[in-house]
Amino acid sequence: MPKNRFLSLLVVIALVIGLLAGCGVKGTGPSAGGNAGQGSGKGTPKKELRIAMQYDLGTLDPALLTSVTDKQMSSNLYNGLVRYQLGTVKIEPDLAEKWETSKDGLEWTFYLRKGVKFHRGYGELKATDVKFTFDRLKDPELKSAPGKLLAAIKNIQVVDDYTVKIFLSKPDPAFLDKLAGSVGYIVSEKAVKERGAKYGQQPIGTGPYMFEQWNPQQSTTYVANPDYFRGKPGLDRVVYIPIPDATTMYNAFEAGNVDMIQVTDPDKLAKYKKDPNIIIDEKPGLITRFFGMNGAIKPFDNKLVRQAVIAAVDRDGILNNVFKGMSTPATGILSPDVEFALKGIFQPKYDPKKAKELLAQAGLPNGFKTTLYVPNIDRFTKPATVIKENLKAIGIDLEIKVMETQSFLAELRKAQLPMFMLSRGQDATPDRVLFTWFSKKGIPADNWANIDIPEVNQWLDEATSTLDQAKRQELFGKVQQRIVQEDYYYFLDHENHIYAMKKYVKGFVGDPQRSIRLDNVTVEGEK
Amino acid sequence: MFQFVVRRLLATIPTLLGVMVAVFIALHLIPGDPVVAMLGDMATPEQVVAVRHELGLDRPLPLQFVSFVERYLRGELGNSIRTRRPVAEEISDRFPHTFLLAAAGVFIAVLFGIPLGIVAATRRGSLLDLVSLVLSMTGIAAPVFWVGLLLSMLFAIRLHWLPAIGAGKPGDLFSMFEALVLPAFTLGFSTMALIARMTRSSMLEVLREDYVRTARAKGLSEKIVLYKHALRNAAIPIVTIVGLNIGYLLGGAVLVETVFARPGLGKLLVDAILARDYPVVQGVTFFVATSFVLVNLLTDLIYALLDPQVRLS
Repeated sequence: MPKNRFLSLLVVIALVIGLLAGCGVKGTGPSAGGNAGQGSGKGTPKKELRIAMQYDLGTLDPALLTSVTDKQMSSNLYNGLVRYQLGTVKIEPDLAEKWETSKDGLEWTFYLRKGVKFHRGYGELKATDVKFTFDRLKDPELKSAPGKLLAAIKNIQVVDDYTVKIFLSKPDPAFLDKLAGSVGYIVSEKAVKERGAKYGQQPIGTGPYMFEQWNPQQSTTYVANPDYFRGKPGLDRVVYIPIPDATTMYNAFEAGNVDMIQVTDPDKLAKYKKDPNIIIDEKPGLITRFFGMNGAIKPFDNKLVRQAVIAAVDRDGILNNVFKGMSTPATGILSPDVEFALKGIFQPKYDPKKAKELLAQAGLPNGFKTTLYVPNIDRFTKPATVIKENLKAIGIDLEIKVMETQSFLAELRKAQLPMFMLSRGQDATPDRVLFTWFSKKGIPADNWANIDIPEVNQWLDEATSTLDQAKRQELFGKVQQRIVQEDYYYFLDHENHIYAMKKYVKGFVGDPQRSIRLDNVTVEGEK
Repeated sequence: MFQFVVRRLLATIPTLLGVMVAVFIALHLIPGDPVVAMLGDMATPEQVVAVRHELGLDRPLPLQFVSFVERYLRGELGNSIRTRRPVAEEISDRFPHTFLLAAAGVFIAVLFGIPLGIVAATRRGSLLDLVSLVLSMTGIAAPVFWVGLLLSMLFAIRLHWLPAIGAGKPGDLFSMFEALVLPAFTLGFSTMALIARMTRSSMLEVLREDYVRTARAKGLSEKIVLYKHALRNAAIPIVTIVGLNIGYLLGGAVLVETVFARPGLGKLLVDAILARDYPVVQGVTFFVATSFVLVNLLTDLIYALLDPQVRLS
């Protein structure tokens, strides 16, 4: 018996730790031998890029993925029939060299590029893979949420190995944009069938990088695809590291544990801009931050009241003091890169005196009490406090209610909140956003202000079902004009997507959808 | 002894059932819909209804609870709503990390806490005692995430000695050790402070006992008096503190895992709550509760080992 049991206890604990360190942790992936690529370590390839991500990998199956992080990671793994030109939302060929469409817009023929190979010996991409990819979205077993975007596809016909025809049940003006998104990525029929439910964590694509390994909550590693049809990519290895906590992410960047991060803190941005070893890439996003007033709740049924609120808000104050130039002021509903977006239609003047007059005209000279609901994220709570002060100046007593984001969204989707603040992402085409936010059919899930204007409903129905681009431009234009005139929403700004990277990272081009495509990215010089 | 263990294990059943009820009710009371969280902006109302039906979320709550308990009795924890992987797999992927972190935290707490307490007790009123007091008070008062950020700023950003994030390269022992140092110190710091305080007061009490005077009178060396006679008797309250704090360390691991972006059960749980991933939240909570109960049982067994006066009956 040992003299001191405490000592032996300590020894046991030390042994357990040693044992665990030796055998504890493993990753999933086809080649489990790879390393996580963290730290400065020896033996790591020269051209490695480590990118901090907001979340961990969920699934890289294009039929299932919905989170921003999964979309960003999949953008370097797959190709669609078409894609966006780097840095823009203009369509260009990808797996399809060219395509044509019938007059009625119901029949699309795509001519595939020859010699495109799937990763890891899964063979050449053929028209049957395209058919399989889109048929699969309708599989009731799979319950694909993004698949709903392509619900207009009626059937797919394989003409020959390199030609495929897609038939739609009704014309869809945004069809190519949908194909350019992650739901349009083409998967290997053989790989999906072989890997079954594990496919999402062991994906096979045709893109510049191949999936190598996933270590849950630590890293997702890609390696260069030597057979990529546009030539071998610029990096040997890409490591995505999930760091949900913003402070930790900045620390990791400053400590040199990651090479590239997304910046959302104005003070950090100012600091990094002064640092000669850091490159900043900024791009206005396909996103609008706004606050809205619910027309179904008094006193916001009165347009004068809504106008008073809009005149009372000091936007410059918010943008300059809170966001310090990290966003682009909104002069319309949609982000300027969205097709048919009208710019310069929303230019509210900060005029508290006029706001007070409007309130008096509305029969509320002494103001009123109401509540603004915001998600518990500082990019909403901070401007909300400024708005509270602004409204106080004209006698409106605004209570701010901060809620956890998911709970907030659940409440919001009942369309019963008097005032709400949020930012919403958009697509390259305005169809979904304008239709769901402002048509009667969007109540309650998306039309949270309860806007129901017969002309607008009709314009939206027409615009989203015609292929006549001139007509669409006219109708969507009218919708945007009219909605701005009705003053249900204050469109604050378009948040910029800002990336900071160490100066040895070359060739990164950001885009309005923050897809973190690594098309021309490489690493040069000393780390 | 065997009987004692069996009885204690049986007694855990109502505790765990209570945990299940509490988790179930709490999850279903907070607003937010896993289906909306999962499908996002793009889903139609019909699709939301369909998925909710598939997941059984449209059935009455009592029925959902019964089937939840039934599944657990069969040993099935279900699949994650977000990743569609089995919950058991999600947990077993992360548990080694959390266990390693908590164990290292305890190790550091004991390794530094007990000597600190002994020194403070034997040199009562000295400068060393004062230093130990200040250190312990800081440890008890400072929030875990704050300590973590400070350590990270100094050792990772300024000095570049240790990584600010991650758990090191799998298989590379040195890098795993490197990545463990800061989180383990962060986690162990406050427990170390508690242990130091407890050791000091417990030792002071024991050192006043008659048998210690007797031992000294017999002419035993001070070392033997301290370590063999005094410490052993002072150890029971210390073991209690260590045992109770293992549970606390599992909880504290949530914060430490977040600050150092380390994989682990805590982070899995937080992510699952945000995504309203019910099966994962239930699975992790149940798992942690079970571990907590087992650790408590283990603590009681160690009592008996240390003190023959404690009977396991």
